[in-house]
Amino acid sequence: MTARERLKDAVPSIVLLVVAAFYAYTATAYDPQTRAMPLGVALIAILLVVLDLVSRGEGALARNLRRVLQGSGAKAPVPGLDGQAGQRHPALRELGAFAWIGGFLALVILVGFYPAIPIYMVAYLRFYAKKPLVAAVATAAVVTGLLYAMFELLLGYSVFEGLIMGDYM
Amino acid sequence: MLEAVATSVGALTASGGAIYLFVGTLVGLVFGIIPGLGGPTALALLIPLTFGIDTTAAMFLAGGIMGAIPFGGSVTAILLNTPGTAPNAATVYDGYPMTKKGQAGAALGAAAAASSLGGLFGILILFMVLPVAREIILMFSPPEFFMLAVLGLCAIAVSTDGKMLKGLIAACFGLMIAFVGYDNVSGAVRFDYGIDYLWDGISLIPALIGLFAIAQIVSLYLAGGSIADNPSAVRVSRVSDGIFAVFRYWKTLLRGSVIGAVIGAVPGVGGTVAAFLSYSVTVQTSRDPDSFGKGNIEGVIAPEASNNAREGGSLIPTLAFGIPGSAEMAVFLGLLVLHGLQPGPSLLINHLDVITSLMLSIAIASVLASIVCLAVARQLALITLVDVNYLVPVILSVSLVGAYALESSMHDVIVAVIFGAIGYLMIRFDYPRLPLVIAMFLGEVAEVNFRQSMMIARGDWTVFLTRPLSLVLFLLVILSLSVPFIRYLLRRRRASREALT
Amino acid sequence: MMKRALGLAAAAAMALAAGQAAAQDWPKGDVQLIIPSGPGGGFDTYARVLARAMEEDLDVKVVPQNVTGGGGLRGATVAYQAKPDGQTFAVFNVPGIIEPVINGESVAYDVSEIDWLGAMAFNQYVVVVGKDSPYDTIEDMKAAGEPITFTAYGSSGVAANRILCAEVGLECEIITGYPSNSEALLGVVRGDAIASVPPISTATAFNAKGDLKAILLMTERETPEFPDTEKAADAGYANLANLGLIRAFGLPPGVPAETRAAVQAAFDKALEAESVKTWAEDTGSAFEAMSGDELSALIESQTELLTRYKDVIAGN
Repeated sequence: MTARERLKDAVPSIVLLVVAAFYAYTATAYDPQTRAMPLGVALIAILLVVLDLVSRGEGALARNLRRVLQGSGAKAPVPGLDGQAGQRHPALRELGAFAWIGGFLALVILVGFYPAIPIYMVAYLRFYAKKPLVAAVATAAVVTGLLYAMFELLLGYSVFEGLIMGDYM
Repeated sequence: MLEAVATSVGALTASGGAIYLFVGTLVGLVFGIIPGLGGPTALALLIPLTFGIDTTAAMFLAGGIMGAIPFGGSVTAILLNTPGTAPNAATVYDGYPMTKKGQAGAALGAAAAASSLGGLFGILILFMVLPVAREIILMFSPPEFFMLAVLGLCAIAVSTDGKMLKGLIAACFGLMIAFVGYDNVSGAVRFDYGIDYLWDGISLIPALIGLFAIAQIVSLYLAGGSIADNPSAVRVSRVSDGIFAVFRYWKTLLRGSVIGAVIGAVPGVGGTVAAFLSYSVTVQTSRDPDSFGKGNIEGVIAPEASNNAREGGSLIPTLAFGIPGSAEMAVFLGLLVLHGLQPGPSLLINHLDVITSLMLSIAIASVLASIVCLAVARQLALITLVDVNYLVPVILSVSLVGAYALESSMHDVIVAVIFGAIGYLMIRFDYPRLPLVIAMFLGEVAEVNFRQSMMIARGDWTVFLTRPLSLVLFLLVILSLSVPFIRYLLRRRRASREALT
Repeated sequence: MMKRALGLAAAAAMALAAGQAAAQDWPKGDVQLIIPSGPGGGFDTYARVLARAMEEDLDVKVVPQNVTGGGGLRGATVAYQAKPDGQTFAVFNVPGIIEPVINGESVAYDVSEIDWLGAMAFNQYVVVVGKDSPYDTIEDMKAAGEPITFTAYGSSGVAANRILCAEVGLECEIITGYPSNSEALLGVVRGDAIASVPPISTATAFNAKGDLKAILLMTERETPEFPDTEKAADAGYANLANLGLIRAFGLPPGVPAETRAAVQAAFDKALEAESVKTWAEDTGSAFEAMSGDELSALIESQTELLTRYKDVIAGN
């Protein structure tokens, strides 16, 4: 592993380290009873992340740490709950997945659930999944219809209607 | 008591009582299946609809919901790696791997049988325990709550999936998230960073939707294809295999039910802990602990049995002292009050038939929900063969509506999406998610009760060891932490002896 | 002359029509009722009872919405900042919303700006101990020679508890962190602490099996549930009878007068509703309708009272 790769590998741990340190720093402002637990946990988190970072190396210390703590390299990911664990996809595709989710969320915030759901579903099925337009429209109609029937008609509960429609968050 | 039961049975058969029960069961199933929507939301939305009907009918409706929700939640946990309600989070651990292997039918069968039998056991235990309910509740004080929370946190040890260090890191961050928001003990607001949404802390349900449902959506989007790795197995896998497995592992079922009913009775700790505890005890007492997390059917039976049994248990504090045993019970208490009933021991004295109606309908609903689902289980299992491109937008739409409906808050929806990113990054960088979830559930309970214990004992640490029940729980904690270690030593000794001969 | 009269009549008719139009302006759709605490508690119950009664006369739904967090402050803030169109109103926890102001914490609302509709109850407190407790009076506690422990729920509960101790001159240790008043009382029954200071109605509801013994009623009113318990004034602590928990309802500031009048009319009518009275009788809940003006006056006197105890509430 080159130094560059090793650094890249350590990025998540470093992010966690920064978050935990910031959390611990925030905690110091509270009075002793109130901060005891959060501060303690944050410090333990920092310790564990540091151990994780150390155990990534190739020296004897790192190897022993891995053996005792079942650190990063101890065990190959098992298929199962985290079945896709460690599986790498191109970053662009990962961003694409979140772009669809983010786009849908933005649409919901703007126009509310009932218009947003069919728009998103048809767009996704037609343009991303390349499904026939009929199938896309039918799926969107069924899902939206069922949600509408259950909430509006059966329970008389109105879901978010969108900032444009004057609903507030 | 028997008289009241007879009255309830009479009411159920007459005047459309059965219809309310059936409607309640269906609503419960649907609300259980949709991530985010669970018992509290279903009951809260139904309260206004019960104004027009009499109290017994309202009990049939509520009991139907309460009995059906836990099983409904297991359906998505098994098929889509997405717990429908929080207590089903433990079910994903072995349920989804079974689905990946094409055994969705068997997993659903096992969950259905375990749920119905667990539900029946829970009500049975409630009946037996009712005369001493008050004594049981009074045994639990803050030191015991704290020890119970620690015992629940020990479940983290078996859920780290062979990645102990990363599991512990995830657990620490889970605790840190749990501490965000209003601190009930000091009245201070912590870690809100000026965002008023955070005054109430990060809501668990939207976070769960993110960690499981949305992270799963991203995984499916990236993986493509269909959920089942082995499509040909899906059609072969038999629902009845799952049902029979429950009888074969009757000990697991019984243990899960008892844990569910007992822990469910402890206010504030509730069903999720019960499910995790039941799961972790099953793993620890199993001859083959390594097979868990890879699709062991016992890993489905254990949490599901405890999930339904807890419904019976959570009625205990409500009946003994008018205190809700769970979020769902809190809403249910509201329903009782609006129907002019005062929750608490007076219910048993003045309105016994109302309570027996509720218990009866919870018991029937847990069986009914399973039967309804078993009837369509084969069709449900076929979902795992569907092109994921259809599943992705459907799951996403439904999950986000579920996140919203919990508190009618778009902020919850945003939290769900943020936790979706966190959940995906955890998969990507190989951090187990269950430790995070367990810690988020238990962080507040553990902290508040620890501080209360210290206040009660005036700072004397021995309070956890001098109270008998607390001491027992403490010993269980030690036992549960040392079992894997003892096992490891035994195995090594056996291995070295074998090597010698 | 005739022309003028006609003109007047026309003007009157137009005014009438405008008035009707304004009245029909509200409700424009479902009305939201914000509840600053979780489902199942006291404020939640009062609010839902009111919502149900209001619905009886309106064509729309009154949707209770629990906005929890910050010990009730988040709900109050959301309600205060809601669009002032009469479609959103809230139940407010008084003195819960006053205490942080007195403690000098920054809050995003101004209590005097809230547009009060009225209140459903003024719940006063009672001091209780376990039924087998050796203490029968406050004087017994003072004679104990060691601090008395209390269980308390919420900032209002802690404040009432501290004021009690300061007023009677009792050395107290308060155990906080209970999730509700009922659970604070359960804490007394199982021995977490010696005593607690819950609202009278909570104590009554909890005490169906006689687990508790009331030793001091912090009210002047007749309390049939605890007939033999000494009242604060008789014990020489008249000031304690002024404290209480108000189930107050109000609109965000800035609701137009006509809309406001329509909301007020619907609210007042709901307070008269039969369903509210039956509910109060069936469950033994305190119910005492209070007009917006009465409520404002009560809030003012509560603020004054709490300001006087500022240091006590802060725990100094």
